[in-house]
Amino acid sequence: MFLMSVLPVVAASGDYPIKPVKVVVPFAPGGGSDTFVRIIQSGIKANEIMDPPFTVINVPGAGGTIGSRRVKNSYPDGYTFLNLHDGILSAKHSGQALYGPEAFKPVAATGRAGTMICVAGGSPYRTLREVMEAAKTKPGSVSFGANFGATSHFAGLRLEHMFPGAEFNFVPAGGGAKRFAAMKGDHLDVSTFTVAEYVGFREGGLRAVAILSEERHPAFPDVMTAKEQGIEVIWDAVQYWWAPAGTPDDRVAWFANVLESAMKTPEVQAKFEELYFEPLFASGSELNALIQEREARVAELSIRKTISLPDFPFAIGIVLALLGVGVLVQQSRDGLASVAIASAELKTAAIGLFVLLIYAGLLASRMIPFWIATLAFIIGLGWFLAQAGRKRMGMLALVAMSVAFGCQYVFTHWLIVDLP
Amino acid sequence: MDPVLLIWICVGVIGGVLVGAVPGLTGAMAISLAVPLTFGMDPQYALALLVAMYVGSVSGGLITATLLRIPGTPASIITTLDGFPMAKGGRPGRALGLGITASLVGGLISWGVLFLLAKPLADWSTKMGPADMFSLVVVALVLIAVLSRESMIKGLFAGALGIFMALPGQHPALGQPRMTFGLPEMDAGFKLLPVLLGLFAVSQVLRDILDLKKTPETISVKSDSLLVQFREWKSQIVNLLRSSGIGSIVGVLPGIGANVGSILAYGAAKTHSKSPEKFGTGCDEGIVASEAANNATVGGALVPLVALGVPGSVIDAILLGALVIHGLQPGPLLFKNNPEVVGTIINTYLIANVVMFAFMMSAAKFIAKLSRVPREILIPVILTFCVVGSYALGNRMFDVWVMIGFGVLGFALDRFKIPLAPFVIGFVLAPMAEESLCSALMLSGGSWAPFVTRPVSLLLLVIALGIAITSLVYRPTTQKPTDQE
Repeated sequence: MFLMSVLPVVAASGDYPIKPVKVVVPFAPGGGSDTFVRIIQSGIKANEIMDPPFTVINVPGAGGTIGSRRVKNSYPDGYTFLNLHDGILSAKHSGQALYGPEAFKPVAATGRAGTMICVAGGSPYRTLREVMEAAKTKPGSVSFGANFGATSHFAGLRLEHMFPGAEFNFVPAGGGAKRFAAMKGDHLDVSTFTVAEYVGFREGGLRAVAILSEERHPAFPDVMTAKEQGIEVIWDAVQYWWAPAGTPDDRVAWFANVLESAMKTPEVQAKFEELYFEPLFASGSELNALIQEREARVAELSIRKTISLPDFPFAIGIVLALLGVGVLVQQSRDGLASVAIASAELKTAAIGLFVLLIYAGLLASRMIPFWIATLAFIIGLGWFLAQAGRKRMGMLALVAMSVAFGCQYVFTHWLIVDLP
Repeated sequence: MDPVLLIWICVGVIGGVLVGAVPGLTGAMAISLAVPLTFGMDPQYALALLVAMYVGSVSGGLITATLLRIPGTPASIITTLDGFPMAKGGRPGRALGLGITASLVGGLISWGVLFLLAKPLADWSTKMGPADMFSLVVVALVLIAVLSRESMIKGLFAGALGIFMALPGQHPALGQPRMTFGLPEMDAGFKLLPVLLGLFAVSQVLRDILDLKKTPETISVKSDSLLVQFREWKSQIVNLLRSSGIGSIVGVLPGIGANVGSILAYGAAKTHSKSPEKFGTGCDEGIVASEAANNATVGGALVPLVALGVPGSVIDAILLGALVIHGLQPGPLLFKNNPEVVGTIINTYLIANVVMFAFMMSAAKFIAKLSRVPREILIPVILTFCVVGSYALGNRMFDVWVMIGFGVLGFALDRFKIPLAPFVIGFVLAPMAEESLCSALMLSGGSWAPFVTRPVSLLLLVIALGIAITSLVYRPTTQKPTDQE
């Protein structure tokens, strides 16, 4: 009861919200962003901050652009939101996506994760300054592991920008664990890691030379900021929440309130500390200023052209065409007898495939609920396939019902899936 | 021992054996269908379940292979050669007993290989740079192409097609979208799970529809005992060790699966046998060689998966995808960063083999009845799971269309006897190859020299070249199975 008085249920206005609010996380479950959103979700749930359910939907792929496009194109009714960090800026400025923050209505910024510049334990570099000096004396001699076009790449570009003359040799190196492996094997000199990743790999021999934040991280007072070393680079990852453009202002404000209350819950605060997220809350004009400032910093940078890389699609295309000719030659020698299918059976298979396509099409259209479509599909196809033989309609109906309702239950209650 | 883990292992093994025993359901199909169900599970339990299913499905196929002459899974094609004649000759129990026990021994021996080899290999492999990694992938690609059973050109074509299909989406090194044909949904390319569901589940279902009218001849196991006397095993010890060894080695080599292992072991057993003329008429040695070897490939194939992050077989490619879905980075550092997960995989493999043995010995007679599950009910259910499983991966219909498309493609490839395994391995290895190639070139400033100046890379490339030349000059006459029909 005490908590309730501190954290009141954020008042609903009129007829909103009456359905579940969907939050799209454009990354796979278990990743940093997903963990972050689920912490907020648990804070909201534990304190009953909002009445309708807060559902998390993962739409991973292409560095977050598959999910962000989904939200950009969704109906702006205040029931769909996106959680996406600074990757929205790098995707736009590297050309991976054609839109950036301007395609959305910003809701709030909640929390940030620090970025550290790390080297392998046995590296000669003790400070970031030494790294930068080396990259300046001999441009291109220091290899910097980065995800091309992502925030880690821009962090390196920003360091170069603020230390004129320094030039890294950027090398694609995948995610945190892969980068760490490459550094341990002496294939990479430096790379960026989030604070949480650094904690995971520290025991294995990862050493931080700088943290790209305003101030030192309270949990790691020995790690100097880049600023202290005379390199004015702040490059942390802020978690933003976005609504599709055109979402009514009062609904955006309502959701921002929900998030603000969630940030104050003890659950969220404890989890943030545990996972080294730094608390932060901004909305309204403060948020707009924050986004503008950060976008300006990214826009100043440009990705250098890399050395020319082999054209994989072209080479594979040629090989494939040659082999295809070879297969055709061989097949024409062997004849087509083994390939031929009796027409009656082919017809059955084709009709089966057609029924499957109709089922998928019905689901895609979202015109009828999942369980009805599934029930109809299983009974229909089963009945059709059994035509030749004995019909076991009772068994078929039973199986169809258990599969349809079973899937509906498992996927909506256990694995939160946005079933059609 | 965590009891929850044990429960998941039992669920996995039993599920795998049942799937393996139903003709028309394969391990690859069932395991790719199970991946979406593990989304909400703890990664350790998820992997235990999937590895246990792998063991179960490779083993379950021997029941129908023996009693119906239908290999429940491709891994047990060779078992039909001697298992069915023996069963028909009035000793179905003995045939099953030999097969099940040989499976256990093969599994245990390859577990030893996994246990001893994986960690040293992983430790050593952190030294491997991008250039070495690229050369390793080249070896794997050459191997799958060369060792395809049907014809080398078709194997190569399948591998190249798999690589080609992996190209759309983000450039693995530069992150820019390519070959998307202007479709934003293509920015992420084709994902592994829908591709696998299409190739192994939908195409198999389409094939099953073609065979709907065929009803198999059944032999029932009534009184014949499954237990084979210990002294009779004495004469099989050499055969067991040799077949398990062959299976383990074939498993470790990337890209070739359980069926190749059993073919090679069967051939070796026949060559070394005192009475080779009895092979194919229902002799002990044939069943033992095939079943010991196909189970041994499973443990062998897990070695490159946990140590290098390179799949050794189609099912390992699915396990690799499952690791990634659960936020784990496959590769040399899996041992260091997630020792509990690696430990779980290795322990699960051991326990699963024991559970498989106990379950199959006690339930073989019952499992034999499963082959009569009406296909017209099974097919729509499998298709529903394919649709839901693909959709659940990323909450989007695009993956469902991809799944159906690859189902039709897989069906067509199969009609032309173009093998699917090289396709999948090519599909999985292509981004690895391109990323390590680009990283290596960017590290060297565009020079190709590291590929031949780094000793490991040079050695691997020489091996690849050697394999390619040997196979062109000398085509080994492996024991081709007599036709399945």
